[in-house]
Formats: sequence, structure tokens, C-alpha cells
Amino acid sequence: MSCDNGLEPPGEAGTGSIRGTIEYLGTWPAADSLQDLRFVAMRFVPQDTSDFLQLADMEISNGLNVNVETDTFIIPEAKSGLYVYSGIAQQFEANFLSWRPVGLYTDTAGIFSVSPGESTEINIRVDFNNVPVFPPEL
Amino acid sequence: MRTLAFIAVLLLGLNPVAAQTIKGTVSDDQGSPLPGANIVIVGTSVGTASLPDGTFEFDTTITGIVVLKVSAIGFYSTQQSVRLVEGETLLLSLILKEQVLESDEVVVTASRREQPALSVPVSVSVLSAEDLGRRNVIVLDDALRTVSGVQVLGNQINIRGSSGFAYNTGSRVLLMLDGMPLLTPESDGVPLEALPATEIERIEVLKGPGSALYGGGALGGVINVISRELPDTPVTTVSSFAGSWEPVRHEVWRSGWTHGDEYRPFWGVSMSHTRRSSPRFGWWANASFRRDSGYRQLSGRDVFHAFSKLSWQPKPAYKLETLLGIMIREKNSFIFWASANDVLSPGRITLGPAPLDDSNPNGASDNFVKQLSFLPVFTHFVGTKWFYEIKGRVFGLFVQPISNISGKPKSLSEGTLGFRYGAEGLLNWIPRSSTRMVFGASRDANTTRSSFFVTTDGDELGGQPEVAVFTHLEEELSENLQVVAGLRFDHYRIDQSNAESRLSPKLSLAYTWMPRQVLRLAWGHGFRVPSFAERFTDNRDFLPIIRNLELKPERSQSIEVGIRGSTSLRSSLVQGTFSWDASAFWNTYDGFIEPRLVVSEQAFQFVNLPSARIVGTEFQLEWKNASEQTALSVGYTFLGSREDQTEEELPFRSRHQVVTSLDSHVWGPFSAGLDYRFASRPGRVETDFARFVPDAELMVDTKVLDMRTSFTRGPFVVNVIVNNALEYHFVERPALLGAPRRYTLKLTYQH
Repeated sequence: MSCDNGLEPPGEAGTGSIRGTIEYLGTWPAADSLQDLRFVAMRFVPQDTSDFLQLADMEISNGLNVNVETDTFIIPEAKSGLYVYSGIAQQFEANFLSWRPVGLYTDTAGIFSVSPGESTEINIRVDFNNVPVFPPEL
Repeated sequence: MRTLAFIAVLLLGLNPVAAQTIKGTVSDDQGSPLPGANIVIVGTSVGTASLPDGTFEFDTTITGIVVLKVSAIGFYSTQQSVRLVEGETLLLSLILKEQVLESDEVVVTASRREQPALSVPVSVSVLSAEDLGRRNVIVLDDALRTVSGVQVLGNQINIRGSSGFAYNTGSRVLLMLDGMPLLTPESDGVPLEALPATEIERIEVLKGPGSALYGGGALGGVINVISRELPDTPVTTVSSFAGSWEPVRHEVWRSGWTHGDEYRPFWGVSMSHTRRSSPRFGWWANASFRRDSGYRQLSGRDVFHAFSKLSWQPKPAYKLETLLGIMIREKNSFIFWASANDVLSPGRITLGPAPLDDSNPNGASDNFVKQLSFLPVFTHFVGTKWFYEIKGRVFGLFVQPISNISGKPKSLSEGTLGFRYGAEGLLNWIPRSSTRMVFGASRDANTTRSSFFVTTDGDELGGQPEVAVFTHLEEELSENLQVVAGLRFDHYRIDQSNAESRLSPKLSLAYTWMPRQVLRLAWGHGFRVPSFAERFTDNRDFLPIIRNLELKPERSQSIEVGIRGSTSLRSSLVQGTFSWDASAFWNTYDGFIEPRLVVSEQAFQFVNLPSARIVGTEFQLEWKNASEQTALSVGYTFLGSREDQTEEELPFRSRHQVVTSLDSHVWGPFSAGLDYRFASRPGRVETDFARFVPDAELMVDTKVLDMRTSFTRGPFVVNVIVNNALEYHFVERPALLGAPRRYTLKLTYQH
């Protein structure tokens, strides 16, 4: 990073898009525990809720619809590279860190890649009656 | 005996006459008579000059306690209070200490009184008014960057690694104006912009804990800004400057901002006038305005500033001085960048339950700020051996956030209103020429109301009272050995149920082992009480931050050995004067206050960290040629730091720092100079900041070259200054690009 001219732009790794469809099963949580709902793709496997702050290594969709059976999302400019832990996250309290996964991307061992200029499509199933364990069991 | 100023004063009443007579001799410390020395009763025009044989005599109608000032070219001036009895003659034998080198500086911060920098038993660096003027220093952090061992990270001053980077909440360096603390009430921050840059006599930087003299805040050191004395003749100064920021080197960065390809202007004007209306009353006043469009998006500022100093001496033994200042500022604060590929645009936190009032990036904030400072000092010379001072201080802060929608300041209730105020009494006792004692007591209080804080009683008038008593002893044990000891007790009430007390001792020795070479040994304690912002911030607008009422003061302890000296060389190869300073220091810290993510609380919180230590060495060398037309200085600081628990290096500390400066009178009216500073990339960069701000872990070496020329003709001075001439891009602090190349033209008229 450093040379005679000091700091330089590291260069863009390139971006691609992530498109997805979501299928919801089970009973939706009460409205007061649905502060927010988003698709989140992480470049790392989180170990606790504090890892939700590593926003520089995450891609996050806009807010998703609630109380629906299916939904879609798109992240038009996601950094290219591997994403190893991705899914639908529910913010259950107003607290910034009160998030939990309610459905994970599980195909191809939960790992997918984004290539520059290309679109990656994934499918996620959310079962509110059987949400994933968090932190994930390694 | 090599004393600091003069050695003996004899009082004899002889030959009663109608008017009082003051007579005697002035000699140097070798016993040779000094012709041409001025002896004046301070606050009057009464006085005389010594004759070729060193004798002097003059009459006056004044009676009672007066202060005599004795000065001579090439010697340290000195003041002494004496008693004049009606009709009697006062016989004095005055001895002045030779000022062998022009480079000898006088400092007051080391022991609250003027003394030669050469002989003080602690590390002190001095920036003169000339140093500030030729660099077009507008805000003092620009000047402090040129001091050996000092780094400025954002608005945070770091002396010998004491501060690192702590999000601008709480300063580990105490800022003083004429010896009076000047910290902001809400965060104990350092309000450098509130100081009158054009009316500064010098800046003294005390390196190492200064709490035994100055109390809390002086954990890592003290910066004492000394305002100008009043000259005998009126002086008017008008200056203006204008310049521009050059677009940054990389197109990728420029393309991220609409104005990235433009030269961004800045300009300012300043006027000041100083005069002594009568022998007993004088004043100076200064007003300035500057506008800076900034080299990053949302980083512009407008600053209006006015300051004045009044000095009134109704009787020779009484003196009242006041400093009064106001600053009004509208400022965008660029907090963090969008990424290392988009350094000119503020970033954005994409998650958060409480949206801001619009969709603008929250990596910047915009505030309308007013600061008010009022610092009166009363001095009474009671007798020939003692005098006392009463000092007051009021610092007001008014912060109004500016709406991103309307562009107008919001209500003060949505911002911060704070006052820090207090008083101090000092009794100075000089039982004999080799002994000096100071006894003091102070009381301060703080009241701050902020939409960001949830306090218990801190927002009440008189909240968080601080009481201190202290004493300070200077004793010359022999001709070559001086000892300075001090002890200070501070008591802080944090809220209705919490209080903290702290005892801060210090001991230092100065030993003149060869002519003009002084060894020193200093040991002292320092501490800092958590600021309002660190203890009481409880807000979730930006990030979840919860208050911590259990926060304890930070503590430090420092041991330093050093040698300071100077010599003149007159060889055929090298001529001029050299002065040097070398020191080694061992500082330990306990309970550093820094923000950490507390998972159990699911929020950030300011907490006390385990102990740490910083050891280091510092070397400084200065050279002036025989005609003093050229001056060169070089300073090097090495820091080795370690956290005791993790045995890791402390974050954000540069192991190697170098500052150099060269100034030369080139030809006729032209002078030129340069500053170069280097700081190695911090060995460890670790912050929770980097978890949510892209590329916040990126740090590089700092290599900055500033160049300047000046042209002087009569009362006019023209300066041309190029800062960061090498166009080297560095990181000021995490996720904040340092200042790129900029050009300044400055015009000054002084009459």
C-alpha cells in the first residue's frame, strides 16, 4: 500500500450482483420483534453478535417484505469474491446488535462466489419454526 | 554560584531624604560590573541605566512595595519586589546571569515561573512567535506537528505516545493559556481553534506527566500557550492570506467527488492592535476570520475569532490582567471515509435502527459552535519575599447541530451547552535567593447539558466539582545542584455517590556538571479524570454507546533522565552555536480509557484498559551559524510500547519520529525555510472502528515536507508557503486522509 507517494487507492476488486429468492415457512414473528429483515452475505463465519459490526466484510440488501410467502432481493454492486455465511437476518429488538439469522443459504456448503460483472443467483428457505443455531456450530 | 537570575538583594535604610532613593550596583555572576543595565520600577517609567562602573542611582516619590525589573542585553532579565520607605535610601547589589547564547530560551511551564530552558529539570520544547509567523500557523496543531516527540492525530495531541488515537474523547494533554487550564467542558478536548494564534509569544510543550503542578489532564504532558506582553509603543498588525488545496494525486479518489478535480480555496484576514495607554494600563485586541472550503467533501469551515488582553496596574504592587476570547465556527467534520478507493467522500453506516434526519452520509457531521473564554488574573506583591495570585477561568461551549435538510442550526437543546469554570489561588514565597516555594489551592466545576449525555447531577450548575491543594518547592542545594519537588492532592466528585481522590507527587533534579551542560532526572505522576463524554454518553443515533459510571481515572508515572547543553564553535570549519538535548524516559500507564465493544451489553462503552508502558529516547540538535542567519534543528524520538496483559504493542504509536527544520536568510530581504517530518507506520493498528469502516486499518508512514519563503520590506512581509510539497498522501488518523499539497500567499503589515 505504501510507496514513495504514500497511500494509494487499493483498486477496485470489481463488483457483481447477487439476486435471490426467499421462501418463508412457519409462523411469522410478532410485529414488535420484526424491527428489520434483510439478506446478509458475509465473507467470514460470525462467532458472536459483535461480528455483525464487520460491515466492511459484508453485503446487505435493502429491507425485505414481511408477512409474505415469498420474496426477492438484489444487491446490484456486491464486491467480487467468496461469501461463506449468508442468509436472512432478523432484527428482533431496536438494539443495533439484536440480529439473528432466520434462514441460511445452504447450497454448495453455504458458499458462493461473486464474479466481476456477473450475476449470482441463490435461493434461501426460511422456516420460522426452525431457525438456525447462532453462533453457528463449527 | 550559577544561579538562575540574580543572587543577592540587600536592604539598608540610609540618609533619610525627602524622596526615596534607589542605588546600588549591577554585576554579572563573575563579579564584573555591568554598564548599561536598565533598572525600572515595573508599571512606571521611573528608572535609570547603570554607569560604566555598574553603579546606578535614581529617586522616586513612590513608597511601599514595588517591583524592580533589571535587564541588560546578553543577560537574563529579572524582577524583584522591594519595599520603599519614605525618605530612605535603598541600597541594592544586583547580579544578572549571563545569557551566553542567543538560543537560550526562557520557559515558565516547568515550575510556574520564568527560568532558562537550559536548566529546567524536565523536557520542554518551545515554539516562538517567529516559528508560528513564518509558517502561517492558523490553528496551533499545525505548529505542534513540528515539535519533536509530538504527533497530532486529528484534533488529538499525542506527546511521546501518551495518547494514541482515542476518538477525540478526552485529551491526555493539558492545554493552558498563560498557565490557566483551557479544556472543553464536555469532552475535556483541546480547543486549539479557540486560541489567538496571532497574539502568541511562544508555546511551551512539557513532555511527561505534569499533574503535580497542574492537576488532571496533564497525564501525558502540558501545552502552555503564552500570550504576548504589551510593548512600550503601539503596534498595529494586519495580515491576510489566501491559497488553495491541490486536487489529490489519484484520479480514482478525485472521481468520487464532484469537486475532486478542483483547486479548493481558503482565505483569511486578521487585525490586531496593541498599545500601552499609560504606564499602568495597556491592552491588545485581535479579530480574525477565515474560510476554508476543505479538500474533502463536507469538510469546509468558517471561523470568526476575537481575543483581547487587558493589563491594569493601579499601583506598582497590584496588577490585574484579563484574557477574553470568543470564537464562532460553522464547521463540517469529516469523520471517516467511504473507503480507501473513495477517500474524499464520507462513509456511511448502512445498518442502524435510528435513521438520521435525512439520507446524507453519517461519516460527517455539521455543527455551529460558539466558544467563550474569560481568564482574569490578579497579582499582589505583598512583601519583598512573597506575593500571591488569584486566577479565574470560565470556558463556555455552545454546540448546535446543523440540519442536513434546512441547512440551519438546530436548537441548542439538540446539541451541547457546557461551562467549565473555576478559580485558583497561589502564594509564592521566596525566603532566600536559593529557595522558592509555591502553595496553591483551586476549585473548578463543570456543567454540561447535551442531547448525547445521560448524567446524574453533571448537568446541574456546579456539577462535578474539583478541589485541589498543592505545593511546589525549588531549592538550590549547591552551586551546581537544583532540586524541585511537588505534591498535589485532587478531589473530584463525579456524581452524588461517586468521588475520586488522587495524590500526585513529583521530584526532579538538575545538575550542572560542566559549564552550560545540565544533567536532569525527573520522576512524576499524572492522572486524568474521565470526561463527560466518556462517562455519560448514552446514545444510539449513530452507534449504540452506553454510559459507564464506573469509569476510573487514568494514571501515569514517568521517569526521565536527560542532558541538555549548548556550546559555541569558532573553528575555521564550523562556526556558530550548537544546543542539544538527549533524554531517555520510562512511562507506565494504568487504566487507559478507550471505547470497546462490550458484547454482554450489545453496545460500545468507554472502559479502563489494563496497564501499559512506553519507553523511549529522544534527541534534539539545533545549530545557528555565527551571524544567526541560518538555523537548523533535528529531532528524533523512538517509542517502544507494550500492553502488560497482552504483551502487544500499543496501537497507533509510531516507533520512529523525525522532525527537521531549516531556516536561512538567503539574500537581502529574502528568507527561506523548510520543515520535514517523518513518522513510521504504527506497528499495530487495531480498532473496533475498522470493523464497520472500510479500510480503517490502512496506515502508512508519514513523510511531509513544508517549504516557505518570505520577502520583507519596511513594514510589509510577504510569505509564500507550500505545505506537503512532495504531495505525499498519508493517513491523519484511521479512515481520514491527511492534508494534501496546498499553496498559501500571506501578506502582513505591521506598524
